[in-house]
Amino acid sequence: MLAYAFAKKGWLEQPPEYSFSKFEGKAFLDAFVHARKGMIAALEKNSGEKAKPFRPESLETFFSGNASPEIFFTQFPQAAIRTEEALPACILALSGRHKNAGAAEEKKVYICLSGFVKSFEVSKKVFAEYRAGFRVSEAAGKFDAVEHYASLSLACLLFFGKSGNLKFLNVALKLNDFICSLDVQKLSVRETQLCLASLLLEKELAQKLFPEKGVPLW
Amino acid sequence: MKNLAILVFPGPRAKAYLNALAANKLLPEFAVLLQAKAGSNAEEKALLEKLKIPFFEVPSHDVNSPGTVEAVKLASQDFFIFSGGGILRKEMLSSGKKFLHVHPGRLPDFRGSTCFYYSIIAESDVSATAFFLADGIDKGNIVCRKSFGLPQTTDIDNFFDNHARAETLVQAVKGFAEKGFFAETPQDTQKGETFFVIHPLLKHLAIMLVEKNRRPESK
Repeated sequence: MLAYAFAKKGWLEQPPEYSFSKFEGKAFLDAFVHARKGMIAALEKNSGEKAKPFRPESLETFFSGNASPEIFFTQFPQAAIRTEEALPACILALSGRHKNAGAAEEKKVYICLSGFVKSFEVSKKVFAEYRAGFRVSEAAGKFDAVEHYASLSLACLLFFGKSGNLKFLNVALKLNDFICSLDVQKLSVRETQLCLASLLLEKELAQKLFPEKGVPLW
Repeated sequence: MKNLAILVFPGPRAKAYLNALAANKLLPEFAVLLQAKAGSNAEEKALLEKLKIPFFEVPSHDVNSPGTVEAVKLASQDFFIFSGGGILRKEMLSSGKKFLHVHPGRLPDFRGSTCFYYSIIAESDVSATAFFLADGIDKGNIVCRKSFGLPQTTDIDNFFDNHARAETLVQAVKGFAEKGFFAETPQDTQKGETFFVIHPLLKHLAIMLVEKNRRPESK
């Protein structure tokens, strides 16, 4: 069987080259699904329980305490954007937690996520902090928090689920490649749960998109 | 073609452009030829000689090098066809010349990278847009757009991309030949999406959609 080549260990140090990737037909789809299934099984084992299907409501308890979309987006764009506040705020806004959100907040979620997406697509990193305009802060040095990558993936998948904007599914697939390159034994319970939620949501959305286009997957 | 030159960045795109323009008798009257980033520019040089296009060869592969900027500035033509080689920097964009580029996507809806694949998935169609380069990614004034439907080949990167761009360039230059000027329409820069290099899974989906919809005679 073809090996999936985009989730190798050391992903952050040497991200895979996505440009001009080769077309390998159905064998590639099989390799992708095999790699994702393997990681989902490993994460389930690490979490000690069989994963339930992804439920957006579960994110509310998961991120409560991290941030409030109401407060975050009222102040957005801040001079400094802290990832640990911004991404939970986006996720909660997208998961329906903030039911009174209007078009203005939806636009801010889009702008905020687009900033993260652009920065990640260029650097293949998610930093702890950004300056206005999503420029990388000198103090941002830290970029190895698994939670930030899984949170960005979740937020982008939720956004894709709502909007159908492929830019967000595309980046989530790359973020999940990073997740699949990780050693599950080294993940905390929280990281395990977040990574699992992200892979399950990706699976759910891909299972919808591909058959819709007449291409079976999974 | 009077008042039209081409900046030749060695590679298949520049050759596709020159051959398509030659086939339509729309050749530029001058060329600035760069060095190849890897390998040689001998094929492009031979093609320019064969097509009898006078050219100046710069000793650099960098589209923004001082020598390239100077060569472009010294040319008498106002319009340059851009055949790739990177993003043009301020020095080049403010050289007094206008650079006609063909983007592989329908602007302003599909900006950025690998747009053919995104539009195959989203719309079962691909388009290319000829526009003048300006500050900001794919945000300059539009000259023309051409829609191709779904490609009839799965070789998007190497074959279809160059073919679609060249056909769109021909349409843009034909308009210039007929009217004596490029009809420009400003873009709605607030509209559309900027895409990044497509993930291999989505690329496979796009190519499989093309495969599924190819006419029997093109298989």
